[in-house]
Amino acid sequence: MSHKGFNLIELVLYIGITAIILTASLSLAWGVIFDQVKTTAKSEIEYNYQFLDNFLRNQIQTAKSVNMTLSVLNANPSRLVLNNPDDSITIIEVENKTINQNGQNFILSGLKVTLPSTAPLSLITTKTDATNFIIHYSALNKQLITDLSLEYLNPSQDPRYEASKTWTNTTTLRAE
Amino acid sequence: MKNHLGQNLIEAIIAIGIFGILMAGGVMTGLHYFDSQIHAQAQSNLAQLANNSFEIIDGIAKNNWVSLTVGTHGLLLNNNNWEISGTPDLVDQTTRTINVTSGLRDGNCNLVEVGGTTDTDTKLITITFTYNDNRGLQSKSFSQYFTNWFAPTNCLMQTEAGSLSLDVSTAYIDATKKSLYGIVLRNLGTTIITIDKMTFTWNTGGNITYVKIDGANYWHATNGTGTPQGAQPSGTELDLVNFVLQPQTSYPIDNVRFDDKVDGATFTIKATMLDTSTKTEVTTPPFIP
Repeated sequence: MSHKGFNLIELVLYIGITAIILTASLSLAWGVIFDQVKTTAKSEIEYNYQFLDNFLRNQIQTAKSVNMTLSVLNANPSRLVLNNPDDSITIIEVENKTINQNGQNFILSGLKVTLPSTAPLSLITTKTDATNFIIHYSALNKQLITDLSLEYLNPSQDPRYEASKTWTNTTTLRAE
Repeated sequence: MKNHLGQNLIEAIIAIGIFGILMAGGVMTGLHYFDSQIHAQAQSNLAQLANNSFEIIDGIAKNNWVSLTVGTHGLLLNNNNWEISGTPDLVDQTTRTINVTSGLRDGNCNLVEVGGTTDTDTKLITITFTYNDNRGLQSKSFSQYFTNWFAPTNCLMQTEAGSLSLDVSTAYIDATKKSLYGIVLRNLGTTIITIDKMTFTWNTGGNITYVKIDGANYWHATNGTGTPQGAQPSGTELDLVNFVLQPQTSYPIDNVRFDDKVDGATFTIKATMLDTSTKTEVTTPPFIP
C-alpha cells in the first residue's frame, strides 16, 4: 500500500486543528496590536503629563512672584503670568490649534509658554487636547494650585483608544 | 514496505502544536512588554505624585509648622488652601498616606535614624501610595525631611559654636611627648565669636599645665591666667581668659602643655563659647619628633 498524503478524515482533522490554532493565534496577535495602540495612547498622555508637571513646577519655583494684573485665575482656561527675577515675564496659556488627521480637521486646546525674548512654544504634543487648565492662588500657603486635564486625540471616538489624565499641580513660590 | 511521501496526521499535529506554542510564546512576550511599560509608567507617575505631595507639604510647613503633628494623615484641599487632614486621602484611585515622625539628632546636631533626641524643628515625612493594578495591591513609599527654618528653637538656632571650626586634622605630639600642637581654631561666620572655656580629656596620665593660643597663654596653671589654678587632671573645665575670634580668621592652638608624657593618648577637646554653645572634637594625634 502506498500513502501519498492524508486520507479524507485526516485532512478534515488537520484543517480543523489548523483552524483552531490559527484563530487562537490571530486573537492573541490582535490583542498585541490592540495593546500597542492603547499603550501608545496612554504613553502619549503620560509623557505630556510628566513634562508639563515638571515644567510648571520649575517655572513657578524660579519666579519672583505671580503677576496678578495680567494673570487670569479661577477660570477655564486660566492664564498664568509670572514675574521673573530679572523683571521679565513668562506667560503660560491655552492656544487653539487646528489639527488635520485622516483628512478631518480638529480644533484642539494646546498649551503654550511665552518665555522672555522668544516666540511662543507649545507645551504639549499635537495629539493631546488640554481640556482643563484652571489656576488658583493660595495666599495662605503661597502656592499656585493648577487643575489640569489632558485627553488623547481619538477621532474615531473608539472607547478602546481613549486615554486621559486629570491631576493637580501644586507648587510653592520660593521667592515670596 | 510502506512508501511515505507526505506527513502522517501525528506529524502534522506535532508540527501545528510546536507552531502554536511558539506563536503563543511570542504573543505573551509582546503582551508582557506592554504590561511592563504601563507598570513602569505607573511607578514614574507615583514619583511625580510624590513630588507634588511634598511640594504641598512644603507650603504647609512654611505657613503652619505646628500642623505637622506626629501621626498618620492625608491632604485636604479646602477652599483652595491645602491642609493636613486626619485620615489618608484618595488621589486618582491611589490612597495617599502621610506619616509624620519627629526628626532625631545626636549630640552634634546631626540627623540620625535611631537613638538621638527628638528635634521639634525637624520632621520626617513618609508618603505611602497604595493602589490596585492587574498584579494586585501595590505600595510605594517616599521620604523626605522637613525643617522649621523660619523659627528654629533647637539645634538649628544660630550659635557661636555653629561658626567655630575646631580643626584637629593636623594635631600632633611633639618631641618632648608632653605638648599637643597643630590644632587650628577658625571662625567661619560673619560676626565675632568668643571661647569662654575649654575642656581637655585624655586617656593617659599627667596634668595639664597651660593652653597657649596664637602665641599667648589663655590659661596657665601657675601665673594667674584663667581658673582654676594649679595643674589640672583630665576632664577639668578650664575657664580661659576670653579668646575672641574675628570673622573668617584662623588661630593656632600652638601649645597645650602637660606635665607628663601624653604620646599615644586619645584627646577629647571641648570648646565652650560665651553663649554656652559647645563644639567637641576627638583626636589621637601622631607622635612627630
